Amino acid sequence: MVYFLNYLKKTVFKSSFWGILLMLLFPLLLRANYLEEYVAASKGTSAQVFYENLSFDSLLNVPATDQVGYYASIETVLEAHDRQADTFFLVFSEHYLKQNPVDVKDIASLERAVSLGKFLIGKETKYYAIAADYVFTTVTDAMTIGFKEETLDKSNDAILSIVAELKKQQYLVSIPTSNLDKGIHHLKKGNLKYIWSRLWFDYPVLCIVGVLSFCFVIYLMFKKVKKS
Amino acid sequence: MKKPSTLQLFSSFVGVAILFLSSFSTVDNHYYGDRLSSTHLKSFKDGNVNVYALKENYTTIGHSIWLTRGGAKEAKAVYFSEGDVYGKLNKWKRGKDLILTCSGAFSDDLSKTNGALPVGLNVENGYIKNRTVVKEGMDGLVIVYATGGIVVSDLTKGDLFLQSLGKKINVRKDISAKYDLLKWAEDEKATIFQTQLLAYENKLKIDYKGRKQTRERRFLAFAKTKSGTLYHIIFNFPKGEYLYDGAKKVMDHLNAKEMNVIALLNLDTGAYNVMDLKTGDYSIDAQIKGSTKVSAAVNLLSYHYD
Repeated sequence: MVYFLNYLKKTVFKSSFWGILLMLLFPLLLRANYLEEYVAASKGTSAQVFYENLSFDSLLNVPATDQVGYYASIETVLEAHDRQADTFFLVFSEHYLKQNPVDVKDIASLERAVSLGKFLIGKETKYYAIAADYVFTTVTDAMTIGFKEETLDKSNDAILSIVAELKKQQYLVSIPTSNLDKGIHHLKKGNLKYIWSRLWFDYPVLCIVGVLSFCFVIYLMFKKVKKS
Repeated sequence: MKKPSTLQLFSSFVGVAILFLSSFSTVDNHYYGDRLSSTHLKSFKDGNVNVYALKENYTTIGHSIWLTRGGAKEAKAVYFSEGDVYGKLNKWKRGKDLILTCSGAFSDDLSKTNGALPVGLNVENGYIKNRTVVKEGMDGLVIVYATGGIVVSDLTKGDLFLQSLGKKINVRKDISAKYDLLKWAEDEKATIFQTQLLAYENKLKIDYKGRKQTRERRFLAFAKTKSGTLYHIIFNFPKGEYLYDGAKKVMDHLNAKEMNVIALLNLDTGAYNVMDLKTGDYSIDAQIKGSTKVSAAVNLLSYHYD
C-alpha cells in the first residue's frame, strides 16, 4: 500500500504538477513563440507592413499573473530584432482596450488596464508616454462616469485603491460628493463659515426660522434660570 | 405664562411649515439683472490698479479690480495649484509688491485619497500635477507664463496656438498634442490650469442652465479697450449671484464700456474662498476680503509688481 502511494506521488502527482505548470505556461510560450517567429520572419519589412500583418489577437490574452513580465518579454523580443517597442505598445494599447474595454463593474479589468499603464509610464520615449496617457485617461474617464452614474461604489476599498493609484500617476478621478458628506467634511474641518454660507444661500427662510427658534430657546432658558 | 390654545399651536405649526416649504421653492428661470454702474474707490501703482464698487439699483453688489497689462510697469500673475501654496506664495513674494491674492481654479479635496488635487489639466511651474483633461463643463485652458502674462484658450475650439511648437493644440481630441503641450510646459516652466469658461471672444458661453444656485462669485476677465490696452479684471460678488446672471452682468458692464472681452473665467469661491487685496486702505480691503484665510488655501492666483 505504501509502495503504491509512493508510486502515485512520484508519477501521477508529479506529472499533474508539470501538467498544470505546462498548462499555465503554454499559452505564454505560444504567444512568445508567435511573436518571435513573426518578428524574425518579417525582418527588413517596413513598420506599416509589420503592423498590418501582425495578429494582435494572438498577443492580447495577457496572463492574469505577471502582466508586467509578459509585456517586458514582448519588449525584449522586439528590441532584440531592432523593432521599435514604443510604437508597438502604442498600437498594442489601442488593440488591448478595443478587445478589453474598461468595464467599471469588473474591478479586475480596471486593475489589468492600470498595470498596463504603469508598465508604459515607466519609459522615457514619447510613444510610451502617449500610450500610457491613452490607457490611464480611458480608465480615469470610465471611473469618473461610473461614480457619476453611481455604478461604482465609492466605499469599496478595491475601487478606492485604483483611484489612489491613478492619483499617484497624476490622473484625478472625480468622485461626486453629496451635500451631506460635504457638510460633514467641512464640519470636521471647522469650516463653519462655509456651511453657514451654503445654508444661507440655499435655505434663507429656514435659516431665519432656525435663528429665531434658537434665540427663543435661549430666552426660555434664561428666564428659567432667572426664576430659580 | 398662559398655556397656548390648540388653535394657536396649530396656526404656529402651519406658519412654520409654510416658511419651511417656501425655502425649497423652484428656481426662477428669469434674469432680472440691471446694468451695473461703478463708482471709483481707489487708484494706486501710478494708476495701473483701480478699484471700483459695483452697484445695481443704487445697491452695492460687489467690486471690480482693474489691473493694467502692457507698458513698462504692469501687473504680473502667478499661480500655485497644489500642495503648500501658502508656503510657496510666501517664498515667492519676497522682494515683490503684492497687489492681490485669490483662490483660482477648482480643487478636489473630498475624494477619499489624501491631499487636494486640482481638477482638470494642471501644471505648476513646469511640474505636472494632473494629466486628466475634464471633458465637459471646463472649457477654459489657462496658461500663465513665467513673464506674468496669461493666455486663455477655448477647449471646445481647440485653437490654442503655441508659437514655439508652431502648431495648434487640441488637448481634448489629440492625445499627441496633449503630450506636446505638457512637454512644452515642463521645458518652459509654464503653469497651466483648466476652469469654467463663461465667455470667449466677446460671447457668453453659458445659458440659463447656469441659473441653479446663488453663490458668492468671482470672475477673472481679460478685456481690451478700443485703443488696445489690455486689462485683467477681477469681479467680486460676495452677496450671491446665479452663475449666468453674474457672467451676463459682467459682459454687459464691459461691453457698455466698449471693451472687447477676450475671455471670462470662473474662479472658485467654494470652501476655500480666498480674496486678499492690498490697496493700503483697510476700509476697501476689508470689504473685498474672502471668507477663508490665505494660509488655508488649496490653490492661489496672485498679482504683483516687480
